[in-house]
This record gives sequence, C-alpha cells and structure tokens, in this order.
Amino acid sequence: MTPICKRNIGISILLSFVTFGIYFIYWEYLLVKNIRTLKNDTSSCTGEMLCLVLVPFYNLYWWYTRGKFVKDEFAANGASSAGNEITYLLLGIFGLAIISMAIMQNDFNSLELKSASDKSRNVVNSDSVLSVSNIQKSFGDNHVLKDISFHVNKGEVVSVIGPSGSGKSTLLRCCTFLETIDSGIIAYDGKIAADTVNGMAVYSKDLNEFRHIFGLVFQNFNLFPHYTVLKNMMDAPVSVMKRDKDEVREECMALLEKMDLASKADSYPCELSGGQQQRVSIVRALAMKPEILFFDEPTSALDPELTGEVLKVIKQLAAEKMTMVIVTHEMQFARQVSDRVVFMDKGIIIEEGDPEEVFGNTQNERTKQFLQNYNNQ
Amino acid sequence: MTLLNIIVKMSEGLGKTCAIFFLTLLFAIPLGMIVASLRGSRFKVISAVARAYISILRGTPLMLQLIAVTYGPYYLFGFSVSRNKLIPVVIAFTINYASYFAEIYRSGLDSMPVGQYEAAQVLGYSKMQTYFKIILPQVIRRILPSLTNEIVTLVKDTSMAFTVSYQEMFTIGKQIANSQTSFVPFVVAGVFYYVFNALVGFVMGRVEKRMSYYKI
Repeated sequence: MTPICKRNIGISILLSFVTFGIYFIYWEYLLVKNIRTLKNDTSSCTGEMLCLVLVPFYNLYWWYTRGKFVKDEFAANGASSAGNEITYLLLGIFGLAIISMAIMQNDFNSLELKSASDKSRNVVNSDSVLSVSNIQKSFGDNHVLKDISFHVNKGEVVSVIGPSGSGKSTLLRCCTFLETIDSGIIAYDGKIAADTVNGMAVYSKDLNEFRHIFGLVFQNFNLFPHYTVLKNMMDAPVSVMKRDKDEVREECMALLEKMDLASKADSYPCELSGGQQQRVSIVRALAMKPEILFFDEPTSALDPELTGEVLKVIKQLAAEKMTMVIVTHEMQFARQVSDRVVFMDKGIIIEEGDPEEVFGNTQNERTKQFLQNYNNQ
Repeated sequence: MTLLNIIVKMSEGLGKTCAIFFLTLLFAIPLGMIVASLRGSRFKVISAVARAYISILRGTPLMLQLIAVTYGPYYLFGFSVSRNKLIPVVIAFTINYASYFAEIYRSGLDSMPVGQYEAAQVLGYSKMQTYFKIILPQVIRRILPSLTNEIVTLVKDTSMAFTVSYQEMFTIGKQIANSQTSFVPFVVAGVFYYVFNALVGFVMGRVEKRMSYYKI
C-alpha cells in the first residue's frame, strides 16, 4: 500500500503545529503578564488575538495549495523544489513580522506606574506605613468595598470591627494583594503599589518588593503541613529573601524561644493545638521582619479556651510597638489593645477613632446598634 | 517443550516488558503533569486543547493508539516502520498514560486548599517556588493511592504490545501457546504479572508510608 500523501505535506502539518505552539506559548505569556500588571485590560490583546487566528489560517491555506502543487511536482521529478523553501521562508518572515508587531503594540499599550498622575502622589501620605485611598472592589454585582480610605502610622495598632459581610476581610485581602482592587490607591511607606489610571487599577511591576513590607496571619493558619515548625519559618527568608541559613535559624529559634514554642521547633503543624498553630503562623510572619502585620480574624477558628494565648502574643507585639492591623470580633480585646478603631459596615467606614470613644460613647447610631447587639449576645 | 523451557523463553521477553514499564513511567508522569497544568490554564484555547487531548486518548483504546503510532507515520508521511518497535510502543503508552496521570494529578491539584497558595503568595514565594516547594509535595502525597492503581494497570497493559508484535513477555508466551497448543504459557504469564504487581504494590506501600509523616 502506498502512503496517502507525500512527506512534504507531513512536514507542513508539523510546521503548522509548531507555529500553533509558539503562538500559544507567546499568548499565554502575554496573558499572565497582563493579569499581573493590568487588571481587566484585554484590549491590548486584540492584535495578538488577530495573529493567533490569522496565521494558522494562512498556514492551512498554504498547506492546501502547496499540497496540490507538490503532488504534481512529485509526479514530475519526485523531489522538493526551491519553491518549497521560498514559501517556508516567506511564512517565517510573515510570522516574525506579526509577532514583532504584536510585541510593539503591547508595549505601546502597557500602562506604566511612572505615568501615574501627580494627584495620586499628593494623596499618599509618606509618613504612614500603609495608606489606602478610595478603594473600590466588587465581586460581580456585589459592591463589597465602596470608597475606603485610611492610614496606618508607624507603631500604631488599628482594629477593624464590623458585622459579617461588611468587607473587613476583603479590605485586608486587597491590602495584601490577595484580591485585586477595581480602583483606588494602595501605598506602603509612601511608595505606590497600586494606582488608578483612567479608572482602572494598575499594579506595580515588582509587587514582591512590597510583599516583604507586610505579613499576614490567616484565620485558618495556612501553615505548610509538610514542613516542621522551624522549616515553616525559615523557608521563606532563606529561599525568597536569599538570606544566610544559619543566621535565619538563630533568629527563628530566638523568636520561638520568646513565644514559648522552642520545644515545638521540630514538630509538624498537625502535632500542635490550634492555639499553638496560630502562634506559629504569627511567628512565621514575623520571621520575614515585616514593618506591618495584618491579622485576619486570628482567633475565629479557635476554641474559646485557646484564644487567650493568641491574644496574649498580639498584646505582647503591641507592647513592642509593632505596627498592626487587626480584623477581629473580640470587642473587649480590640478595646484594650488598639490605638484606633475602625468600624465598617456595608463596604464603608462608618466611624473611626479612639477605642474608648468608639466603644464608650459613640454618637453614631449604626455603631451603637452594632455594639448593643454584640453585648446582648 | 517443558515448563522450564517455557519459563526461560518467556523471561527473555521480561526485559522488554520492564523497558516498556519503566520508560512509560519515566515519560508519562512528567507529561501528565504538563498536560494537567495546561488544562488548568487561564487561556481557554490551551485548556481546550489539553482537554481534547485527554478526552481523545482516554476515549480510544490503547490497542488502537499502539497501531496508530506504530504504523501511522508510514501511511501519513511515508516513513518506513522502524525495526525497533520499542520507540513507537513507548510513545503510545506514554501519551495514553499521560492522559490518565493528568486527570489524577488534576484531582490532587483541585484538592489543595487555596490557603496554601495564598500563604505562599503573601510570603513572597515565586510561582515556581510555590509549585515545587509547597504544592507538589502535598499533591504527590494526596494522589499516591490512585497513582499506584494506575501503575498496576500499566504493568498488565504492557501485554497490549503484542498487537504490534513487539517481542515482550506476553507476545512470546502467546506464540508458544499457539505453536504448542498449550495453555501453560498463559498461566506462566499470569504468575509473572502477579509477582511484578506484588512488587509494585510493596514499593508503593513503602513510599506511601514514608510520605505519611504528616497529616493533611
């Protein structure tokens, strides 16, 4: 039985696949890059989309015409001719031209933080560790954060309270880049991490630099179960910040010593109680030497009996003048530990001020109602 | 032909059976991981291609794929059928098993709590570091039982290579059975496969035990 078609056509099929492959990879790269830096901006991808559709079609067309041609040629002299090579060459040039055009277009379209308006620079307070202004965030139709602005100064402990679904956790997740904002400005140490250009949030290209400034303690710990306590703490400073291993180990042991966890250094997270796990996750965040520490309801996943030990650690940190933002439902604790209390409801900051003022004699009706409900429970 | 003769003859093919088995594992596991990550890609076209790959290779018989990979190049491109059939056989097994491994692997990835990714992201791990240091070790632990299942099936599926008359153990056994009109070679093959799988089960059990030093 003779082969159905000639070898050249097989090669052209392969070539088509390779072209497809290159465009897929390039496209994927663009997509990832764009999602990292430009939110919701697909307009700059139009060019690439076009080339993605056009080139394979061109390839197929070429294959079709060429295939017919080649068959006749084979009948005549049984070998490939120079015409083949020229077509391959043209195809390559065409592809390269489209790729370079796409790259150029993408560069023109990309928005740089350099072009941020002067207005946003004025909004940012360079004295604050964290300053957030006019943040908007919605999940679909659900408008979770409506125009939130606040500052956290160095050494300050800020508690964020409010009913469930008021957007407290979302605010924290936006500040730590776990969620992307729709619009607004986030700045750490006076440096802008996220800005709004033409009504669209634009993130800085080196977000990892900013990630070293803050630490986050999760509600459900999120320790790495396959690492020991010490490895949990040491791994990020060593492999992310590329610091010296022995130096980090000494520091971590000192931290564990301070938190009464030194005996647990070689245990796995599953061997610890909930309270101990949460303390380890606080220590893990501290090992990165953050300037500001966020707590996302640190005691909500714990038994009432175990909350005490975690709250004690936070108090200890407050006494050491650690800058902290704490989202919590422990009103008594918030009143004791914080320098400032922020009350949020339905995505807006209703009241902000001294804890005694807010808890003791608030003038705001909504706050009063919330605290009353809380006390009745 | 005595029983001993049959066993000696068939164990000559055992090397080739092992070659298919180990080479397939060597290539199919990484390929399965790649396919699984492509399947989870944000880019819909890539994800669709990976999905189609899995769907086609899981949805057609291995026997057919063996024939297609071995003889397809001749019919399509006019390449001569290679004398060494190990290469097409391993390719066919690899692409087939990669699709199964990809699905197993995806189930492991899906079962990972989002918190692990978030914790790694906040600590500043890069994507590669998150994947290789945090996610992959935990995923491997989670998928090990179903992976063992698939590997055991692979041992038995090596007998499929007889469709392209690749001279592995089962093919030889079948030839002997035909020429001697004897059932004995099949019994011998059964014992061989059982011992092989008992070994696989033992090794995987040890690996599982070694990895279960922590609870999830």
